[in-house]
Amino acid sequence: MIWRALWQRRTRSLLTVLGVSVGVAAVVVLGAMAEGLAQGYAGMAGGADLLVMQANAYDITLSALDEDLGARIAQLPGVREVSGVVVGMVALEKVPYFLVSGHDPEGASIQHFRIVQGNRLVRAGQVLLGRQAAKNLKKNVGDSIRLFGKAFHVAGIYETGQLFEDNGAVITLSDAQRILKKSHRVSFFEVSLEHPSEADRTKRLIEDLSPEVSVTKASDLADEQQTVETIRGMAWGISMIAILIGGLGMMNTMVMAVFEQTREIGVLRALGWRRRHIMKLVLGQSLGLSLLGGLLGISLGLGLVWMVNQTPAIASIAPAFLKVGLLLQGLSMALVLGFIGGAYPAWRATRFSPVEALRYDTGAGMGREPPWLRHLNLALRALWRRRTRSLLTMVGIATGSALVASLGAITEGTLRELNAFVSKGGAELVAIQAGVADMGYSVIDERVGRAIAAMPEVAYVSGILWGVSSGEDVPFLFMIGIDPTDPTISRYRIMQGRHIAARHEAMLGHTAARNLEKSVGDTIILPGGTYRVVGIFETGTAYEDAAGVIALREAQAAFQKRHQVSLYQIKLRDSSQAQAVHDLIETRLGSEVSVSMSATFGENLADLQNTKAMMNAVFTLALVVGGIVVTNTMVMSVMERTREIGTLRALGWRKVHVLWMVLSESLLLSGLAGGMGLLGGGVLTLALQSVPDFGAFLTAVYTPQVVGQSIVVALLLGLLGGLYPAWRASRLQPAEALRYE
Amino acid sequence: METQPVVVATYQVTRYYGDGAVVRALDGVDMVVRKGEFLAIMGPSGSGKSTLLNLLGALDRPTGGRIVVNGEDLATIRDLDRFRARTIGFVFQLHNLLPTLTARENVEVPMHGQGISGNAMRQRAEHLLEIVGLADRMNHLPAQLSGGQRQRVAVARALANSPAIILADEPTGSLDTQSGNEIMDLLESINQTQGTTILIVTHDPRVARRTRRILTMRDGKIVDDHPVRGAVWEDLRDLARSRLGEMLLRGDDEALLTQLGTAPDSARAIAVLRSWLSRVAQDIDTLA
Ligand SMILES: Nc1ncnc2c1ncn2[C@@H]1O[C@H](COP(=O)(O)OP(=O)(O)O)[C@@H](O)[C@H]1O
Ligand SMILES: [Mg+2]
Repeated sequence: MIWRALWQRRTRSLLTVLGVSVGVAAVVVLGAMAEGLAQGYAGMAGGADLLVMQANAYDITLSALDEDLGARIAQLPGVREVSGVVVGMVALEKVPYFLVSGHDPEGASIQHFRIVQGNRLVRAGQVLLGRQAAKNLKKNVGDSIRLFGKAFHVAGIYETGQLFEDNGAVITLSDAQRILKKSHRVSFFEVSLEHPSEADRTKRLIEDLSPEVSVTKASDLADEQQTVETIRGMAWGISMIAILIGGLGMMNTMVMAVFEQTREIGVLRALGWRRRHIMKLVLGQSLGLSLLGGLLGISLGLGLVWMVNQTPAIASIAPAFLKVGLLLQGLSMALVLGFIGGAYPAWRATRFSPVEALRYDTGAGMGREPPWLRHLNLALRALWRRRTRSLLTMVGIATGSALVASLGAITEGTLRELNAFVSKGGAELVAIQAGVADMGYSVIDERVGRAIAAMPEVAYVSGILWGVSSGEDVPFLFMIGIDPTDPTISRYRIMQGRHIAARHEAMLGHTAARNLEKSVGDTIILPGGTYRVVGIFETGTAYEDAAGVIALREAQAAFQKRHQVSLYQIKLRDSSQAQAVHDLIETRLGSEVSVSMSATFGENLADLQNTKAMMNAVFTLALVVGGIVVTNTMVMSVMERTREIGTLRALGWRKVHVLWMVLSESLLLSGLAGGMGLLGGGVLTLALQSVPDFGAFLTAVYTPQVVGQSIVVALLLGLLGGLYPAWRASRLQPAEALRYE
Repeated sequence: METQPVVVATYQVTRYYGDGAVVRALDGVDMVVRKGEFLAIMGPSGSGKSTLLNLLGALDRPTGGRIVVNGEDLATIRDLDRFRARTIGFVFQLHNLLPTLTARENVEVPMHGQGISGNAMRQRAEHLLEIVGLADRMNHLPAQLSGGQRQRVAVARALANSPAIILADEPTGSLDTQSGNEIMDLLESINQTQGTTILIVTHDPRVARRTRRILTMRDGKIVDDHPVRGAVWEDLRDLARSRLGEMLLRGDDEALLTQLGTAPDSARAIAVLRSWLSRVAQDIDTLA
């Protein structure tokens, strides 16, 4: 009886199943990608027992330690071997994040790169490619590849089974130190022990060597990476939204099915069925649908995982890694959806009194409509008549368009912040390291800054260095190093206290001060030691107001970037020369830095491109899931009104007339939902902004474009979702439609 | 009557359903209806009445044969929507009103897309609702009206574009006798005052007798077609077709007497009935 009912309404069942399956597929794919990222990080430990990295580093790829430390660790009792490794993210064409690691060709750490083709790494200028990377980049042994503007010769191809590594490349340690600007430094040390069981004791010994290091057991590495946490959180959030929308669709269908079967339910009750039986019947239907959706979603997810791993741009940063647990999670998610989606309709079904249910006439309406409704147009009334369903659908669409609005506004806000950040001091040009995967990885030698400053057209350059502190005292703080004598320091408008002037002094942005509960005179532990807070400032840029500022020299020491900065702001004598100077620097120093006009800095950044790519993915997800939900609602609404439509055609209404009637209803529904979504987007943004640590960095700007975009999404949903049902409605044969029960 | 123009004519119309086990819903129907006729189509359920009505109203296309309505061959009409809106008025068994629209708005529905101004539509709808006696129910929703009232709204809606023909498929089928009579009164007066041709499908003989001609269908064919001459005549006709009537007409008195018993006045009753019946039977023969 259950399956027959689902089969009779197969379009609807199919759409519901699809809605659920897209949600489940999102859970599987995004979960697999987050898992792949975690696996990737775990794999960085190679075959070592302990990993020594910089304390307070936000992420292992941002860690830096003095090379000489390696020798001191090697002398500790119980340590068998130590090898220093440099890792970094390089931007390649089509692959925004490409993991490059530098190993000593003779060292222990390179041993686990099993060569499957070609030869081992022996000298500078050679590169080994991971098997997947070689495939994605279409490179073979003997080819050459450019990293940071320098050509490398592919000596061999390896496979380690670690997704990250197989999607990356290996070069010699000294090459890596050079191109990743880490001379005499490494990202971390891999330490293998005589007796792995003594890991804890050795860990303490190494930690005693220097306050600057943190030691992690290889097995714990992934879990201690903030990046992994962030990505896991995001994957979870997005798949929850997809699931939510799918669940709304599910509930929608079941509410509909219950209404449709009201008479049948009445008959069953009259024949002596208990409420419990009715409940089982309805829940059985929804669980059946969701089970199908779950299974379909898992296969869809498997297909997508395969596709992700074939796409170099995604696979190199977040290769999808499937765990059986994830599939089970997707399936149980679907069943939970089925249960929740079915529970309310099932409860409603048991509440029908048999007499009422038997009298129920879908065609007759219920006559409980409020008088003001008379003044609304036809489409609005039709929506009102099915208000539970309309509301569920609207919430579904609104969730999608809220997501688009919120992410759009945040991207836009970030862009503006970035541009404001670099152009506040009045500098015309901005330089960051060429070929870098994102701003966080940018490193420029001060030598380059001096070369730029020496140009006659340049008034002065000011370099700043940034880093992220994630110590115990301060879980997450964006740090800026600036020379206290730099004239651009005046951009930090002091609200309290004064600017930094000497060593061991820090000033905090006002949001940072509030979050950390620090005020002038307090001390704060940051990378490089203990600082005294001498001033609280404000710039109006969220990034800076949530940051701490210390002297450039101290920052360079703390982040192991001596004589290096992250970014140069370049002030010209004559602003009109900006383009000419831009071109000049690009030709002379193009291999070192990439220069942008400050006003368009953000647009050119790889970071923003990546964010936009993510936006587009979310956009598509919202469109697909939302489209299915709208189509479903409209299909139901058309089927339910088959007789009505037959009547209209019998009375001489044209097909286009009927088409437009259905379409306008669906457009209206989604238009209303779009408005709701905008409001929801605002709330979502506020919610995101109140997340501790990173929320303070989010600035949202609702440009007309962002608002327009989310309305367009909604209307597009209405159009897409309405088109098929409208077409179906207009194609109904009048004589058939009139016979429809 | 014979001098009135023909408004409906069908020539060997067939309508088959399905491809495997074919259902011959209509199996060669020939009929002629003249302007101003008030006609009933009777027959058991499944005999093809609704199918025939749907074909006449261009809701469906015949498998074979030709249908001419109001001088136009339906097969050649390009704008069937306009034809339905302008020439035909439908009344269904279930009123089929739009539940979200008020009575007045329901009556306006067929006028949409016919180039009529909103004001004119409104006035016409109000006028029609007055005609069907619902002047005080204009702004009620279907759910707030009784079954008979809903059906009257449906009749008003059928009149919206002053159609040449009204096709009513069991318009009294879901009503009580009283409301059914009211609907018949209404249709009768429309037929008389406006000269609209009206075809009613029904299987209620009392409804059929209120029209002026009855077509009887069986298995997709028209098996009888006769004018209505009054209640007594119709009763006798029914008797003539019964088993009893057959025995009477055959003159099988012995069988009759075993059936009726041998009371002294039985023979007398049989004689009277036979004389009446033979008169009717002649009529039936001439018609057939
Ligand atoms: N759409 C259809 N598909 C298949 N058979 C149909 C269809 N419509 C009607 N029929 C069949 O055609 C025959 C005549 O139906 P109909 O005209 O509705 O009879 P009625 O005289 O009761 O109105 C019936 O046997 C019916 O089952
Ligand atoms: Mg019928």
